[in-house]
Amino acid sequence: MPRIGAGGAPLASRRAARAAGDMEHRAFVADEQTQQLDESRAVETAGGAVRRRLNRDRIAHAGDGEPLFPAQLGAEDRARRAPRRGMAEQPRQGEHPLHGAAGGAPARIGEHEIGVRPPAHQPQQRFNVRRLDPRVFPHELLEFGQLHLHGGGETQALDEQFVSELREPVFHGSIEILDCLEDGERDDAVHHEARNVASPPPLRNSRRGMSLLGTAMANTPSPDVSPPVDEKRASFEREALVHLDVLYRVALRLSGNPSDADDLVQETMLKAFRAWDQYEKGTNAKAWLLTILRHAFINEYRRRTRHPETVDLDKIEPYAVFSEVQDEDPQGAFFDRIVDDQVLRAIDQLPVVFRETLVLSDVEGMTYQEIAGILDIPVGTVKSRLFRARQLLQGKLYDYAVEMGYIKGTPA
Amino acid sequence: MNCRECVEHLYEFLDRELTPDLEREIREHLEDCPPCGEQYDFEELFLKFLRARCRTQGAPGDLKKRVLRELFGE
Repeated sequence: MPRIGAGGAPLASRRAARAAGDMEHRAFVADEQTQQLDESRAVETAGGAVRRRLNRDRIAHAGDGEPLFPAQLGAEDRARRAPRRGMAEQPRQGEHPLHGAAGGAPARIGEHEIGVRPPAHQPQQRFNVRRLDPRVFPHELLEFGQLHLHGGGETQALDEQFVSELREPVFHGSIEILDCLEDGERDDAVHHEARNVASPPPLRNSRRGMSLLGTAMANTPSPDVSPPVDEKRASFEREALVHLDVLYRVALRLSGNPSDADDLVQETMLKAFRAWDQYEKGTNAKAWLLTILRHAFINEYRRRTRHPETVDLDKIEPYAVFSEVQDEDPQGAFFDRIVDDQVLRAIDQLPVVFRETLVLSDVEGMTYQEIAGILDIPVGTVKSRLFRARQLLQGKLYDYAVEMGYIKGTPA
Repeated sequence: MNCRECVEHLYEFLDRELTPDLEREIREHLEDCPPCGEQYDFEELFLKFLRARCRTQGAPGDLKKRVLRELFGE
């Protein structure tokens, strides 16, 4: 049976593919300035490496003129998390995102452009796929998902896990089709350029009550209709750059040091600027930016932390500081003696899920709804995390105050 | 509304995240119950203290310049 991709030496080939991924990354980075002016050209430049690789991978000879298979979500229950709008858009005849239209940029297919054209005589195939994001994870596997291809120009489905991974704020990377499941043989990776429209994840607190992602999908701009650069810059400065202090404070508490906080804010601003056309002006820019920042942090955190923090949150028993101090210092005067640095240090010792919730609420004054949107958790979870985060922090500060002799008490 | 319920919702009350009905119940309880009232004062002070201690810091002066340079090549 015909196979997709070159068999033989999977590992070596995958290494080459990764190197090519990095190359693509460099191409993309080098072209960032240009991208704002002429996005499609940048995409094409970045995609060049992929196309070359694909040709080498013997997928290039699928017959021309066959219909393409746009990426499409499969099940209704995914609609909430990954809006369907725009996903089922029919591709234009004669263009192939992998090999490009005759000399042109790859075609866009809704949210994720995944150019796959199975040979016509393979009526149905299922592949394992994984996403490579050369900008964030140069060499690491993110998530597996399955891509189903049905012959005859019908449908294909990506499973939810895969789709949700693709909902990163900004994604420009490649899809790797790992193997064909049908014959059980492990074909080596075939890479397909995939590119979403740099849309942020949905914010539940968006003013109109619909996801920003959905909006972005509906209004995917083409370079032709983008606002002039000056106008884009002005609105970005007016609505986004004004939140620099907030972003920096949150970044500092999340990352724990000024240098990483700097990097995190710069990365956030870069991603935000690229996605600026998808942000609905005049809505909640602060929450939108914080969502991007938090995604960037999580990615970086996962990359750096081989053994991520494993804390059984339910086992953390905060104690009620008030009951400890109500006889001696019910007014909490001891707090006033604790200096900024000590408070910040105590916050930094909280488990990250408590820390991020507490910082968004108590430092930045976000509402529960906003925090739920940024952290992608239910409002009820925000409440319980906040409750425990505050109690935990009080406990730490109380212990410190006792230690310093600000209050008699007995450290727990 | 008893003391346990009141304390349970105290943060939500302070954060103004309660429904009007529940908010009124808590308010009434706080007026009638000195110990809960004291705890309310304590928690309120704690949150104010937290905000005051943590918001003094802003982005470094040159960060904006660096962001602008990265975005617009300035």
